[in-house]
Amino acid sequence: MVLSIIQNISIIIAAEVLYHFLSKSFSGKAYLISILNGILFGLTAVLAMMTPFRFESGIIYDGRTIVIGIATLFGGPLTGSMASAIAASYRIFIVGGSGYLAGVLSILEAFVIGAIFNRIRKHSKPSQELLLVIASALLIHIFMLLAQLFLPNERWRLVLPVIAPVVLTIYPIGFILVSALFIEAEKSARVQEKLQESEERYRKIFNNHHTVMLIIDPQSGAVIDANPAAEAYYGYSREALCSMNITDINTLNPEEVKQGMARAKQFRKNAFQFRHRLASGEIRDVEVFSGPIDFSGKEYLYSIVHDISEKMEAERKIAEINENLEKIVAKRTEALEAANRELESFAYSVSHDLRAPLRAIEGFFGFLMQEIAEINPSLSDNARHYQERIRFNITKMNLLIDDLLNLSRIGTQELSLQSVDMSELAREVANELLSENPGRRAAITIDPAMTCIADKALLKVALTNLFSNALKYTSTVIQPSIRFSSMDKDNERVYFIKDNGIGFDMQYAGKLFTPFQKLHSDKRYPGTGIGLSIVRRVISKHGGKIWAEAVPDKGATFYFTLGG
Amino acid sequence: MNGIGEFQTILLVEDNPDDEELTLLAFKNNHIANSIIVVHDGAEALDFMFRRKAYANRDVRTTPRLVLLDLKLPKLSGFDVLQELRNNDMTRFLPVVILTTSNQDEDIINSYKFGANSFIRKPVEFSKFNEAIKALGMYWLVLNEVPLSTKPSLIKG
Repeated sequence: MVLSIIQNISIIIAAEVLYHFLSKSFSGKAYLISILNGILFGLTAVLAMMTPFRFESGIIYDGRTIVIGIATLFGGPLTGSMASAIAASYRIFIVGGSGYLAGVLSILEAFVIGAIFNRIRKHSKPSQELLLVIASALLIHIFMLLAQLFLPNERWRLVLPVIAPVVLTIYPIGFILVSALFIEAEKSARVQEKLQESEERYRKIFNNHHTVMLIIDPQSGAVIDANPAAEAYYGYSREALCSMNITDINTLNPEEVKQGMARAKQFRKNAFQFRHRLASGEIRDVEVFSGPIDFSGKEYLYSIVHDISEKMEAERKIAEINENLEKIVAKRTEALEAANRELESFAYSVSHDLRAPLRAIEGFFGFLMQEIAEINPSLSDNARHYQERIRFNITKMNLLIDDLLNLSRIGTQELSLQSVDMSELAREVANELLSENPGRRAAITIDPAMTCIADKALLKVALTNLFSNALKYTSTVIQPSIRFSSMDKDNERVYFIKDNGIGFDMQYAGKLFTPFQKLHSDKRYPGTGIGLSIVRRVISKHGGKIWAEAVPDKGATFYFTLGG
Repeated sequence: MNGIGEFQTILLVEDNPDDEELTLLAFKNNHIANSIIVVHDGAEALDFMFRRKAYANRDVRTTPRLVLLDLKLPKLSGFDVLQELRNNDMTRFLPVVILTTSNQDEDIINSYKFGANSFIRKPVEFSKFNEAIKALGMYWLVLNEVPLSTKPSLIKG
């Protein structure tokens, strides 16, 4: 009996090989496989029944429970039922005999238990697989022994002692061994399937993507593969592309291409700008994203190619437009500067030429008054008043001309920068102003050690105007005080001159630095209205800013920076 | 004062008739008795100095002791005249005072560069102008010493 069951097991192993062959050949057609395998296992069972251990006529023992159990456990209910039907038919109609009921029941119980475990198996972990196999092997063969109870005439009393030791040892072991083969085969089939799937996915992406993709051998530069998008783009067939080298496409010389590919390999991912030649001879600008990819142990470069010719063309156009724009701006600036220079030189010569007649008026008026005084030493009050008004206006016009000349000169003068002790300069300016206007008394405070980089002569002009204003607009307050100091604001040194004079309404602050704009009456506060324009010119020439804050009757503060 | 005082000539180079008259008036006003010769452009100034053309026959003793030179002049500018004077041995050390309306730094620098002895900006105010002329006469005609070679009597015609 042992020999016969071992023979049966080898038949089953042969069937197992066939089973996998069938599964592979008809992959994708699940029903067909199940049916074909059902027939295969059915025939195997028949084969097993043809070489049985014969207890007596009509009572045979063989490996059918193993065949049906495994067929159902691994092949599923459909395969199992097919195999069972064939095996059962053979047992009833061909073998027949008194043991047919027990024989058919053995087939049935193997099928049922196989089906149950097939089901359990689907929801279990791979680690529990062996346990399930052992359990089903034991159960099937316990039930096989139970099936012997259906032998006529209580033959089981005779049969069981003979077969039980074998059925409960050799049978399950055979079952388990064959099952192990199945499990192994299934496992490797699954791995294979996954591999195929991923390769399939990759191929699908490669082939169906609308992006141009190439696979390149980084050593030789040979094109290994190209997708249909690449075929369409380059105008070569895949076969043609695969016989080309990347240097046939890239316009750079082979050495440069090689360097590029080495870089792509080294840095895993990299974008390059190249020029690629199409089959038509046209040369396009492309951006190539390259990176390494492993294929069966060898490293290749996958390259995704983007046509950026239009983008490049647009960029070139933008650059061209910008360049033109810059040229236009430069031209306009130049024209504007020329006009400005002309205006300034015009202002200069006008004011210069105005001075000659003014001097003549003043000179001859002086001699005239001298003559008159000789004839009539005592002038009338009216005459003296008229004389005074004429003198005043001549002086005023002279100041106006001076300021206009200064203003136009500052515009054209080059800066000569040096380190300036502003505190010292401010003291000098204040002293000069005080000695020029002996009637003015003001408490002037100047912070020490304020230094800056500036054009000293121009800075003096600016400080003179600012101090002169402060003195002028504090002339009517009881205790005039002026302070020159500095502070840090937004990382910039801000200088300020603060007075407690008459101030001004902030509403008019915008007019302060415009030439000839005055915020106070000429009578009380004489001036040309050009002083602050000069100051602003000086400050902006240094790259600085000037602004003012004031409250009427509370004083004004002029702030300035010197840039850089 | 030396013996040829009456010939202590001043040459005024001035194209503006008002300025000319005012300058002369100011000299008179300050009792500066020197004879003042007026020429109206740069070319005439050089003709006078070097006794050329219309001045070929001028008395050598009228060679000026002081030149008052405006910068803006017809034909030859004040700078041209100054350079010519400095290039000639006869006039190399002749005191030349620039008397002008300009106060541009550039003009002041160039004046000294080309050898001017002084630079005076014509003041607008009557009194200041008067004072300037007075001081000028006092300094250059009375206080200032010049080498003998530039004294008119020694210049050979």
